[in-house]
Amino acid sequence: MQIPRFHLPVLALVLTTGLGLAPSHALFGQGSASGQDSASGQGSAQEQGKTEPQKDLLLRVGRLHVGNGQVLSKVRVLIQNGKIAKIGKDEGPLPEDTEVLDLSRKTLIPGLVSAYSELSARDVSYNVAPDEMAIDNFDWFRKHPTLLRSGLTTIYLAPGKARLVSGQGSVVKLFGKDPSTRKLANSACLQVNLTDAARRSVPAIFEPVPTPNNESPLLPSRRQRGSSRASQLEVLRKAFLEAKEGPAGGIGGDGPSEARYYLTSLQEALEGKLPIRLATSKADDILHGMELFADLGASLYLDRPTQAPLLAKELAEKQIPVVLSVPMRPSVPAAGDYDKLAQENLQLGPDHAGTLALAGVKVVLVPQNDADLDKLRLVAGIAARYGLDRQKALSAITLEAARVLGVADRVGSIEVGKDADLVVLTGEPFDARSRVERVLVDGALAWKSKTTQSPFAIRAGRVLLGNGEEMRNAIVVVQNGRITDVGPYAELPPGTELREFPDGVLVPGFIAPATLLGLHSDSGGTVSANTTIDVASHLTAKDPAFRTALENGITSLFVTPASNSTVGARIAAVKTDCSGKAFVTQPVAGLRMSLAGGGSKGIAQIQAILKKARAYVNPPKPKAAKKPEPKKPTPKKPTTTKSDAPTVDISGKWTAAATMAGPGGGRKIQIPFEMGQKGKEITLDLRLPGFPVPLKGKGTFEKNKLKVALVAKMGSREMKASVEADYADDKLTGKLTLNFGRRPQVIAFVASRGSGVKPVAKEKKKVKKVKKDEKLEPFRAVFNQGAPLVVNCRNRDAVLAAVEAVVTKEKLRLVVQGAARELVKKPVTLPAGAKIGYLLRVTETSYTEKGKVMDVASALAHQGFEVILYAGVQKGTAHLPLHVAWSVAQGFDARRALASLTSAAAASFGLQKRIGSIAKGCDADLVLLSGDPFDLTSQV
Amino acid sequence: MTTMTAKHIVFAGLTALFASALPAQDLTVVKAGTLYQGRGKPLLKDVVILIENGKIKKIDKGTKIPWNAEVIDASKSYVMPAWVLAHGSGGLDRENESIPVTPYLTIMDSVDPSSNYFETARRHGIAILHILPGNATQVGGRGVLLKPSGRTPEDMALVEKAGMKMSLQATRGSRSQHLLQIEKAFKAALDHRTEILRQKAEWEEDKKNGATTVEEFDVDKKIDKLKKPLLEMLDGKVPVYLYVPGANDVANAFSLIEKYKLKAVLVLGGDCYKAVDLVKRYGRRNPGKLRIILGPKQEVVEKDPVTQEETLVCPAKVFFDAGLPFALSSTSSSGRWGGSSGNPALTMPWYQVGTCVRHGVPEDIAIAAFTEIPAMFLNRAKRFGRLEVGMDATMQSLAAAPMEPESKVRMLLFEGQIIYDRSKDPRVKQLTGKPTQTR
Repeated sequence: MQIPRFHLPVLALVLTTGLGLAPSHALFGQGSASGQDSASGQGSAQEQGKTEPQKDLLLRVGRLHVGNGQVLSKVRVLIQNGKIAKIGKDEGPLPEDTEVLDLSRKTLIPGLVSAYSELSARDVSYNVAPDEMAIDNFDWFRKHPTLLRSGLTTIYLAPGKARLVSGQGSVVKLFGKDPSTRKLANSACLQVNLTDAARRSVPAIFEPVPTPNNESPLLPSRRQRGSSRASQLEVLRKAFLEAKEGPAGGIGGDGPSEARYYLTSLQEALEGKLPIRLATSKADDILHGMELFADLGASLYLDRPTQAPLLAKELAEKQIPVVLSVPMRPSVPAAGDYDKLAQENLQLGPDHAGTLALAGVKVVLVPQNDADLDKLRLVAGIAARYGLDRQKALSAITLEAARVLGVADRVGSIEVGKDADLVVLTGEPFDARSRVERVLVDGALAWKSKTTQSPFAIRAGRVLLGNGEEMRNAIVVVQNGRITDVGPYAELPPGTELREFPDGVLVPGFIAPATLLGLHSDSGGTVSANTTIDVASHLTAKDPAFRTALENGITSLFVTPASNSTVGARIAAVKTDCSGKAFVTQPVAGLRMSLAGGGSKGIAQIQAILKKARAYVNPPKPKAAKKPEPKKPTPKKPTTTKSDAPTVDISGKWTAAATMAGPGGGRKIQIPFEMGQKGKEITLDLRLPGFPVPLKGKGTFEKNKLKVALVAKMGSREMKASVEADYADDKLTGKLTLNFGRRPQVIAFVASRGSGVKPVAKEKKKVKKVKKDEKLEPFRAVFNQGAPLVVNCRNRDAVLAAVEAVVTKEKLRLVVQGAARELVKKPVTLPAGAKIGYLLRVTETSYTEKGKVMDVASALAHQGFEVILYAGVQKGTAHLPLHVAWSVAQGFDARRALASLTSAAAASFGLQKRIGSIAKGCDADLVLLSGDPFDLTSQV
Repeated sequence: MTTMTAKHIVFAGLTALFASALPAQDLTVVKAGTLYQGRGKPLLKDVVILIENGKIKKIDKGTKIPWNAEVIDASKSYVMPAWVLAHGSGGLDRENESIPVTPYLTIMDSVDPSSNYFETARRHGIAILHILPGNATQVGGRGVLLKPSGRTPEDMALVEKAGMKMSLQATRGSRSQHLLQIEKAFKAALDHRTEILRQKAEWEEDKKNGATTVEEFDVDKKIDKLKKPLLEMLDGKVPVYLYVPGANDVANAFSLIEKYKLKAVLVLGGDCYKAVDLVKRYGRRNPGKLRIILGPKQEVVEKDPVTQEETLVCPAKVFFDAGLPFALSSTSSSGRWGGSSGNPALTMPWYQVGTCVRHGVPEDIAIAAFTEIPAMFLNRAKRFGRLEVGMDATMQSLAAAPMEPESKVRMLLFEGQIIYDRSKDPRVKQLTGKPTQTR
């Protein structure tokens, strides 16, 4: 008979002996998975990164508040290894190997220090708990973006607030790589609360007795001492006396073992190593506390004493610093109002800081509530409004705060040797308009404003809005590339930089319509293209001609290739500033058409095209979508050459019926798949029911045999499968092999055409999308985005036909081109209210007939057209403003001429909300001229 | 009860049990359709595993089956090592005492063999369980290493006093108070021993001077029995299974381990993955000493404080990406594992492994994290967790490869003995109404 071995007691010892763990690493080390290797590689890189010194950073600062009251201007601050290495004048050449940050228009202040927070405050159940460490309850892994972006970098953590001795407070940074570097002081003070709150809420302790009897009965829970000021002082005195007389590091206190504590912190406080942070409110509490700790010889500072001004003289004499909160909560209207009762009871007032500072007390400012931690700068500002010196107010939230917390050797001011915890402001620290732009902690970027461009404003002597209106001495505000406000009293967001140009004339960026700029063919000639070409994607952004155009004030171009067919080329709207991200404003800003004749024939011609296009873009019923589209290439047809064309086309949707092997005789499943065919090459997209990802792959179809290898990607894992099938009678018979697990799984199937499953509405829609007709695609912009049809008319009749068809009947936007002279000779009546653009070539603005100069532009404008002038050439577009000036010289109204260059051009192409005028919401494409736009001596 | 007497009783009981329940047979043969031996070994097809006295003697294709061998036909099954749970608190009468420091307790006294938990464990293919006190403790007592079958705890136990359980989950007071209480308990035990040793020195001095009549001074006997287990732990004789509830406790755990030179296995729950850099650094400081068991929750939703954007994080993937080895664990059926939700899926090892695979941990690493790595933490790497010649025949046969949807445990073997057979599982029968197809 066999005795099972595992009952031998000796094994109990085996477990307790050394656990050889080297194999565990070997196991992971030998891994074939590349992720494992690269992961360990990363680890070593990180380690190197730690020892490697951080890159130096040089700040060129316009204005610098040191934190101790000093203000420097135009200085350089060098940061090495996260510390401030050097502060000097901003002069001389810049070092080449150092990263330089230009803050010459900014203000730099030290990272703010809040000397109070309840982020990890927690009241334990013992009234004297000096061992409680605030840092132990701090969440290192929680991010504090709202605090960081307010410029707060260092924070005091209160251990608790409602116990007589609530523990040791700690000081941490809010940002940093590692808890060890973020920890500024584990034990910054011993928090003693001589407050009403602490007296009111003394907890009771229940001490269970293991075996209650007459001698040791089960007693009700015992109230701890310290529920009146007298007993509080008594408890404190007793505790400190015990610490004084007890052994170093011994255990003190009474009651159950949990209520006892180490005497270390109390002993340190008695030696003056650990300051006592005394939270009090009333003057008598302050006085008693001061007396007690003076007797014991402990160093002391006060935590938010309400009635401190009564004792200002004593506090100044004994050099006891005061941490004060300001009883005003920004954005909370109820708090801190002045009333008579408050005055009589001497409640906390915003002027206390000023009063105390005047008496010579060192003041540190904190917000009244944790919710205002991100408003520390404002809180100090309020104190400054009520009498605290401006520089002292800044110091009260930087250097003085750091001094009180005992961390002034590392943070609190911008001085050589300290940590590079810095806040970049757009203005003075107590200016409500100043914004925080960057926050650095240990020289590393902790937060950066997302508005990459700070708002700026231009005040110009004249602002021509582009719609014919003009403003004198007005301001244009620009933020994030858009105009946010225009007017003499425009709203300036905080941090706005205002530039003044009293003699300047500000006009909208000019628009050059119908240009060929940027469309070069290799042979140097002009490029012609048909409707299917996406013009925007063919533009070469680096064209130097763009730059020339920009220098002449042209900021937008409507680029279109030459075209003469009935339905012509697309028009793309682009910007000349190619460096910008928004290079292409609108890929299809318009569509060109040509119309040779007029009358009903012309109307019908346009309408026929539009009808077809409308059916394509906005199919009214499913039926309409099926209308034959003559030129449309059908994707289903094989497009290969005849020689290797397969005998059959197997592309399309299929459904395989298969039986899945498994318990209970297997179950029947349907596997839908779709194939695409290009000659012998097959692409296959298969969905296994209940499997989350599709299987996709490529293969061949030859001699009625289909072979496809499939892959499914699930995260980083690839699962392979293959399909082999024979084609006969329009059916595919074969097998699907799944190599998912360790054992391949073979599923035999018979597949027939069709989706098999009931067609879902969604699928139908998809099919329509597939039939993307590049010829009709631009009409989408015409119908949906308000892009115009630009119709080149050969004669006056054609113009009339186009107007009739496009504007009256189809209610679309129209821009007419051509037949200018005929129109001048025989004006047309346009439908009322319609805004029809007229593209007038600059060479046609005037002509001389019988010795009389005919002003074509004016004539057309009088007929109701929005006249837009264009150069229509590849080169020389840059001179368009000059050409327009010429038309003005010929009698064209200057306002209309400017509009033609700006708002009219934009409006005719449906882009008036983005370009062409100086108005709220438009792109900030502005041209500042030295004089009137049509004064030839004006310069851009 | 003392261990020795208990053991003797167990022997007697077991001997009788085995004599009646099993035929006297040393040889077993498992015909495996597919055999997965462990990480780095090729998948074998249609092999025969010869088991002698519970140990694998041979793995071969053409092995002749001895006439006296019991044959277990798994020729249509996928055979792989049984799962090993290195840290769990299931199947107990009560997980924790209300007193926080109880190093002298053994969870053996709390094991309930009739618990549903062990049945579930068998059904999911777990053959080795290290059951420890729950997490609501400071020093909770000794765990027990057991197999999930047997009528009495002694019957089930492989090691009656296994690892010591400690937890940093602050149940009363704060995190710092919790740590302080643990350190106080340590200090009290160490001070006690110092005092005893001082007494011994005094006795020796007295004896030299003839001032005492006491003949013997046995330190071992003088030391308080309640403090002894803690001293054993502090001497490094007993491994500590230290539960770390969150990222902010990780640094405290390491300082405790380093200060008292504890031989520790870390059980990382909650959001500990956030402190992966700290863990990595500790691993570098103490090469070969980092042992991590990850909590059962392998999908954690993390919310961005500003954008409120939610992302799904897999702790195992985080540790894998950091190049740190880890073991996986599952929760007890009641869902009580460090306050994790009562999601029944978390009791299933294959679900845990599958979750890791879904998040990008390679399959073999994820499987090893529930087989050979926990076996290594339990100092049993040469006995289970893999299926190789010379190792224990502790294996499971599955209907398909473990990650396949139709995969389920057909049979569970512990040292060559069948401890679970799905075809005879009464609960499965009850649920499906018919015996399930096996083998």
